Amino acid sequence: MVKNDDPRLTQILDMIGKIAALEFQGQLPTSKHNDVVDAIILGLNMLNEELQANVVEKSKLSHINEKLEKFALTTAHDLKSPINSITGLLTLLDYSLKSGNKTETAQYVTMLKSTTEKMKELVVNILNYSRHSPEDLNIELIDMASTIRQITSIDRTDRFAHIRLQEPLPTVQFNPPALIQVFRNIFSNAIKYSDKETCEITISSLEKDNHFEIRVADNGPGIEPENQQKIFELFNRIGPAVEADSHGVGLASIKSILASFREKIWVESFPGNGAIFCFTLSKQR
Amino acid sequence: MTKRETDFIDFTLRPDGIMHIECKPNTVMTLEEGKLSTRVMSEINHHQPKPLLCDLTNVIKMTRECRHHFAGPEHAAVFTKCALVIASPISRIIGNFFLGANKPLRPTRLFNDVEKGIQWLKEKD
Repeated sequence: MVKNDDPRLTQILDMIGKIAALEFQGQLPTSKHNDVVDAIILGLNMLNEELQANVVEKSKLSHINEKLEKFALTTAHDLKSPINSITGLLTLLDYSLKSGNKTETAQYVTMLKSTTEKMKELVVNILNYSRHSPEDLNIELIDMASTIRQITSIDRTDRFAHIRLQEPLPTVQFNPPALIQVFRNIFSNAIKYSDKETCEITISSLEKDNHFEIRVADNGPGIEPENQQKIFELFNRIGPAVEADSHGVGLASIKSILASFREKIWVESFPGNGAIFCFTLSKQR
Repeated sequence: MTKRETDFIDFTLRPDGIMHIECKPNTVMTLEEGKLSTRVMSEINHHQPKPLLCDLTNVIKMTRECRHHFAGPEHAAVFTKCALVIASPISRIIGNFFLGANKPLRPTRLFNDVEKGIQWLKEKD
């Protein structure tokens, strides 16, 4: 027989109050009575667990939805700009064809090609950002120094920058195309934003307990402290990125690649004194 | 009749082909116990799903992870239909909660009485 002064009833009433206030964290203790009150307590505890799990799930979904909405909006916005240019250029091309002005026609065709190339580049960058999933990526032993030499040789980076390796650089376990993409993006950013006659890039590494810290330093304009996190956001439009007509996808893309392997990337910089892009690569994978 | 037991559960494959499992007094069912019971049932059944008579009367708690396991595909592979016997207030709330919130993949019903559960399990679908 349950009595009105049974302390468990007060606990139950308090818990119902918390549930009404959408607080689902608590769990009531059960006694050894194995009676109806214990059953109600157990039911409330289970209900709390389910509601709490639903709240967490809903919060995750809401975060993903926000990111998707932002992604869709910015993608549409970025694609709209070259499409507007193409529309304008086609109108001008139409006029020049009708008036028979071959010089102008040639100019507009060249501008159209350039705009569509930029659009293609944007689409490729967005696809690269969206595609990588760690399950699909093979891990191999990679000699970092020779990988960097391979990149600079294929991209002919020496035409735009002086790249120096502070050897020895480690041999790491990673996915080769992903690592190439990481270095390629950092190099191309250093070159794109360089404000010096010669762009200098130095790659070094620090050995830590469980990982290597890879450091890519440049002699560019550097990055303001308030922008040092934002530059890794998708479609960022920060400082020199606007002037350089950047899509703001590259760094977000390599952050996403590294994050999918549970690695980190950050930048160390004092404006006017270049920037050092640092990322981790675990020793064991 | 085949019998086995773990720390918390007695398993009996009855001559009529019904798998009868009965929890021991004051059993707290965790995910680990849930997975073990699925494996033991599968072994006794020679990996052929059988009707399941599950007496929850002595269970005093079943964790959320365990409830999800019992409602999921791994456990659904070892039985065709399930009669849950709930002859105590606590087992009654666990059974009701299991049906309401977790929604098992195979036909599952609650019974206060073992015989009525067996009768339903023997009915042709």
